[in-house]
Amino acid sequence: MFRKTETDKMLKQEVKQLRGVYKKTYRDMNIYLGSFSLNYYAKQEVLLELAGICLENQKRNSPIEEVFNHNSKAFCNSLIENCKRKTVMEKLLEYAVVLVFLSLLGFLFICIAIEISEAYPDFSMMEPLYIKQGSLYCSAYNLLPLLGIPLLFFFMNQIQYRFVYASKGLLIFLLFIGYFIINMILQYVFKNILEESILVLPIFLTIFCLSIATVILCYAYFACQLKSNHGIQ
Amino acid sequence: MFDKTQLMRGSLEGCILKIIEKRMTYGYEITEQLQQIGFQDIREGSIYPILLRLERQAYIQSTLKESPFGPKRKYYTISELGKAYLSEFYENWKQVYYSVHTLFEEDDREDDQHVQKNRNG
Repeated sequence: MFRKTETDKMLKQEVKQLRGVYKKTYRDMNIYLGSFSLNYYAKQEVLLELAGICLENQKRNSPIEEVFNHNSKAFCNSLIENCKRKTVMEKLLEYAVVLVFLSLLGFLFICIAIEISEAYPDFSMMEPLYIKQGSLYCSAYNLLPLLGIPLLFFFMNQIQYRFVYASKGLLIFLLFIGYFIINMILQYVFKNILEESILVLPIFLTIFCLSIATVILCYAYFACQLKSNHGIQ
Repeated sequence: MFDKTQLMRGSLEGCILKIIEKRMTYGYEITEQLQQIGFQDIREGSIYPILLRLERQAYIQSTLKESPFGPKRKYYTISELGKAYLSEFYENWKQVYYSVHTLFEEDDREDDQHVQKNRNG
């Protein structure tokens, strides 16, 4: 979504050189800053400076904790106070990109489902009825991203904050796979209802989405509590 | 116990601007200079948010340059706006200094007189 700048390249080079505690300090601060809604370019500039501070201290062999007065969380908070925030336009753009991406992915899944049902007519959840009502189902399918994207972003940030070793890309991929599997199961579970009345499916999907959203919200709330209490030192 | 950091916080911004005014410099050098003149507790982490704020307020400008230790760091120069702000800071600082000094000088004088009386008596 954002073009790679000279800052990104320099940042990559400097981070590569970081070792041990210096690398860990940088990474923890990067993750912590990442869980706030900061402007991308402003954040990259700050990260470059942080990487520079860590790298310099690594070369001088001086303890990194002292640089941040043994409280890198307070340091990060003061950075956040002075850093440019994401604009409404930026947030909307981010939302739109994910929405388009998820819609395309949903469309792709439906195409795959049609192919499977044609190839294996006995595959119980892929009845011809479903294919005929594809457009209706497609709109129901898109309901989850519409409801879930803002939560998804928040959730991803939290999850990445908690499990620092997991890459964001991998987590998003796993979430999509989970989304696909849940969708397949739902079709199977509601197979009989689907045959009786196709309109029931979007209603059930909405209920399911709202339930998931509630669970995520609860998790996000507690994760937030955890973040404030057990943040970076 | 007296919290020295509260006292330093107000003046630090002006001191950083003064150091930058003298020559183009970066975070680590600024910290070293501050430590040399007596701000012993100052660390690079303490001044970086201030530098970020000063840059956002357009009092200083930055360019990326390689530091003596290798990594590219932000080197700061003062802007015209920053110079005006610095002279304003200094004028205000002098007023505060004068007020505090006058108040404590009176106390010191009274103490001296008291000691003198005791010696004579």
